Amino acid sequence: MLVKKFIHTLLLSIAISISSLAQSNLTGTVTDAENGNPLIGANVVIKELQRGISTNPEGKFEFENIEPGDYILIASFIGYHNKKVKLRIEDENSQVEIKMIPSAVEMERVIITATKTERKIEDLPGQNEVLEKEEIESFPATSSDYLLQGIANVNVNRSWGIFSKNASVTMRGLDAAQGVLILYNGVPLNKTAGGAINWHMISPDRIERIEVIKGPGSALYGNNAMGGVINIITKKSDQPISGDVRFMGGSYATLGGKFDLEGNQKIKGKNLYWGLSGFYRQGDGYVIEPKDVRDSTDVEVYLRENKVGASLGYEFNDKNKIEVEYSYYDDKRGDGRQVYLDDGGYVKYTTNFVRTKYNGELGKIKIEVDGYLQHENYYQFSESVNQDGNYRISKRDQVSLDYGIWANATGKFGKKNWLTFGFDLKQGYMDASEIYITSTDTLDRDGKVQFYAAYLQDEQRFFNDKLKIIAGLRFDYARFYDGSIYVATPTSNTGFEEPVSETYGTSNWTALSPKLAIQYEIIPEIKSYVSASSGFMPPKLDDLISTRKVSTGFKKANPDLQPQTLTNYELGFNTRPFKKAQFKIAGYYSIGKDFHYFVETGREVDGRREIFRDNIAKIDIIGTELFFQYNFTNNLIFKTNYTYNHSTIKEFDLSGSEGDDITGNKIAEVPPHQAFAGVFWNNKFINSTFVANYVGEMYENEENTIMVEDYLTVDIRLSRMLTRKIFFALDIQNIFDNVYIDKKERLSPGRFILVELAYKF
Amino acid sequence: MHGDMKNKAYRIKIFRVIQFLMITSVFLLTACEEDDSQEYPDPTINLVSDPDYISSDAIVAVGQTFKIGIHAEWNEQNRLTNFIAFQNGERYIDLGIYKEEYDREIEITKGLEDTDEWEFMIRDYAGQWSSVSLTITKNPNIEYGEILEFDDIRLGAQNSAEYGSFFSFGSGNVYTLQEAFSNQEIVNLVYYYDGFDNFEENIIASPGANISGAFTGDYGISNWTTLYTIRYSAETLDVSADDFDSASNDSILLAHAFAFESGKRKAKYLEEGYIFSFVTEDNRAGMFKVESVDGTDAGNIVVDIKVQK
Repeated sequence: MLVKKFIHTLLLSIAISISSLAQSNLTGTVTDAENGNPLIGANVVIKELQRGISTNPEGKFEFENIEPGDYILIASFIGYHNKKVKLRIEDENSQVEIKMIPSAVEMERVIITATKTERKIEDLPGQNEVLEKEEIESFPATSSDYLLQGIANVNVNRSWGIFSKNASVTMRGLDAAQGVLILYNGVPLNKTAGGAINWHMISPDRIERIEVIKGPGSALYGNNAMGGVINIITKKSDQPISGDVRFMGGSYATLGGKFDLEGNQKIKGKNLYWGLSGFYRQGDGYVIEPKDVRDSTDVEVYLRENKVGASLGYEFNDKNKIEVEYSYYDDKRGDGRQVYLDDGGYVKYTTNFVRTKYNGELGKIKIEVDGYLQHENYYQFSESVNQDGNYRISKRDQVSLDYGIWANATGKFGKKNWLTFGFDLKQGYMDASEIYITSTDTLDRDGKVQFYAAYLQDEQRFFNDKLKIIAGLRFDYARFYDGSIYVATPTSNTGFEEPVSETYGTSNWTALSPKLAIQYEIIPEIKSYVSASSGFMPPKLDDLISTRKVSTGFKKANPDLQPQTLTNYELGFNTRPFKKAQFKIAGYYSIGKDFHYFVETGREVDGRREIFRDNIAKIDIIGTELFFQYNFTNNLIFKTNYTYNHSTIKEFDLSGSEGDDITGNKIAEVPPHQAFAGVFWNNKFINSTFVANYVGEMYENEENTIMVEDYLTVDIRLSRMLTRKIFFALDIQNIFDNVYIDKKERLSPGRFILVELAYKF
Repeated sequence: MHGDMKNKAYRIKIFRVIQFLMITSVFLLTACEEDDSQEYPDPTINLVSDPDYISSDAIVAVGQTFKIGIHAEWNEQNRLTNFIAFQNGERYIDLGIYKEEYDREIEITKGLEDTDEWEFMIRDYAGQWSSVSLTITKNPNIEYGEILEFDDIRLGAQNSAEYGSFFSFGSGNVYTLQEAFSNQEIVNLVYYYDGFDNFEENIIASPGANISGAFTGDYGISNWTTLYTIRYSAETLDVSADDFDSASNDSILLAHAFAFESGKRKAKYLEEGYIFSFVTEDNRAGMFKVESVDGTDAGNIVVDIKVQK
């Protein structure tokens, strides 16, 4: 028996040894075909084995234990054409050298968001931009909205850096209240309650690409797409297993960690891809109040935040796949004021987000169906001493829920004709309660909105694709219902004169959003376009149902508020004056109607003027944007842009209400001048990025009596793969420590340094 | 085989890392939740029993000042956050606090109402509360004092050529600056207009209110040797014109009197219909009502005045 066991063990050992001996290693180098320089961080995948690896700082890679056979090796790297290499691996170790041919980066870029069909960016009329993964990784970004600073005509306001409770992103001369539609993997993130999105939920490290469509896009996207549309697309693994663990630390005692783990397995020839990610970040922050107005209650704006997320996708075949994603986000950010309580005042977002996606084909028609649900709990805890010396604690607990389904179908009918059509259903809900701890006030308000929309878009090409026409039309219907407000035992803290128990009636509105865009190729290097498009912003639930004290008066709800609309006329040229350069210019004129502004009722409540938002203003915007990029090499790129916006209030109809006529005033919080310049230089020693961002002076208030001064910030990022698996980055935002005062008359953090160390596998 | 085992071990490690991270995440996300299901007693509040304080139902004369002492304590769990004093259901004091114990002395002057229901409430962080109350009844057996009444007294601003700016309770006359200089021993009250910094301030004050800048020259107030002083309420009173007009004794004046030191030197931003109370340096209570005002530095004001004899 013992002998038999020994023989079995021996045979097994021999088999293992033979098996081991029959495997070999594959080593190689990836270089630039033009100058022979090694390419660092290029991806190399053995297609049949689904094994992938990145090149080290010498451009080398190594696969261990590969069975003999025929394989296809695929190398990819930003700025280069993908390279496929067929090779046969024998019993001995093999070597291969892959020479990659540079591509003209911009010409290769494709964009999906503009038409809901994959198109080369140059084939579309308009000033659209795409940020690819490698560019995203080269920015010294501490939040995902930072990445948009380099896009022409996008105004990002995050004046307290990572300590801002949120960022506002606007486009094309509109102010922060007249936002932009933000899509996350194709589903909207803008909340019905207030229109804003929580940028902290999206980690920059998880972003694969960002597509930016400028100008009104409501013909396809409806709600919120008045200034433009931004679609953030996250990473999807094409390797069996990969990931990273990151640690970071920096200014204001900022510490954090992240993990990403993702994979792609073939199960019976079908792809199953998945991802797990999470992050934690904390920081002690800084005092935002300017020194000359500080008192003993002004303290640092600290932060603590974390997120976990998971995604799963399954490809039935080349044409059909499903995806599901879930994430949980939670934070706590100090508001800079503390009297007695340990944490002082703070805000806290807790968000659960789920999305599903189905992609399929029905004959010639490509179908995409997206479902989403976003449940957010916004908690605001305030602690302060007011001007009269009265101590106050209050808490606001606001739940918002948005969920919907978006179905889209695109088909090619005829040789040069594509039709896109779809429908979009959404439900928005908000329930807010405010409780005052230091007085008896209690406020509750809630309401719901349903949206229904259908759209149709036709894209045609003529004269050997020299003339391209896109026409679209979308109809939106929305219904506001179940709105109510309840106020118990009010005092001067909330300003109500007596208890309130009121139910609002149902109201509804419609919007018709057309678009016509024509592009003509004058010569292959110069393409011109004209377009007319419209966009709209629905009234925010908060404005429909919330009666409360605000800084400018006593705000009364207006359940009859209608959407704001904007029509844009645009002329532009996208050119490639020579091989390595790209120059784009556009001029536009936008007319806005029914814009929301505060007006007065003529009453006073608790010594404050009673105000409400109304569809009262017509505005116009005359603007231009210029973009220039020069690729000295694929590793040395210079980008710059400049934006001018002249945004004014053209009419202010005060009939039926009271207040100051602000006709002729500039739109507040819109800088007429903005500029950006960036140098992105990767070499064998270090990858470096230098970006400068200028935001011109602007008015802080609608009355145009207070100016916010202009400011310039210069940021850098230095990064490098220290070994094949260890990555190091140094980010310095605002390197010249230019502490500016923002529109809320608070200080920016000044120079902010962050060091990151990552282990990639 | 060796490679597969290595890969397998590697994957196990990875999954252990994930497991650790997920468990840690769940722990971190749930660790901060507090168990707030436990019930705690209400905070306590009591009236202080002390010879200086009223601590139970009492009868008080109109205009008489009395004190109430309050002592409140937390429930050892949630701090006290709100103290409210209600007078006949209306908030008299509503204060945010953050304390384990709260002591307060409230000084009250009995008004004209027959009874005042006083309720004192303490609330804590969790919204739990307690209250105590007492009733103060007006003493019906008190005889009120006589008053001087002056109707439609027109006073000119400092540059008025028509009307004098100064008034004497003793003589009942209006004086120009020069006349007032000669009668400074009996001049009690003065009107002037301050248009500085675009604030249109119609002001009634007294010679002792540090207003020499409005009246200069040889007869200017800085050259006066007697400066009579009156202190005024900080703002217009919640008293109706009818109540003011019908007052024939000093009960309403006493009901709105205050300690001389706590008054303001000037009654500012005067508008038609405003009623201010005042206390003179010899401790006489009074009130005036603005009948009309023409607010320029050469304008004038018409007032009705009532003051204790």
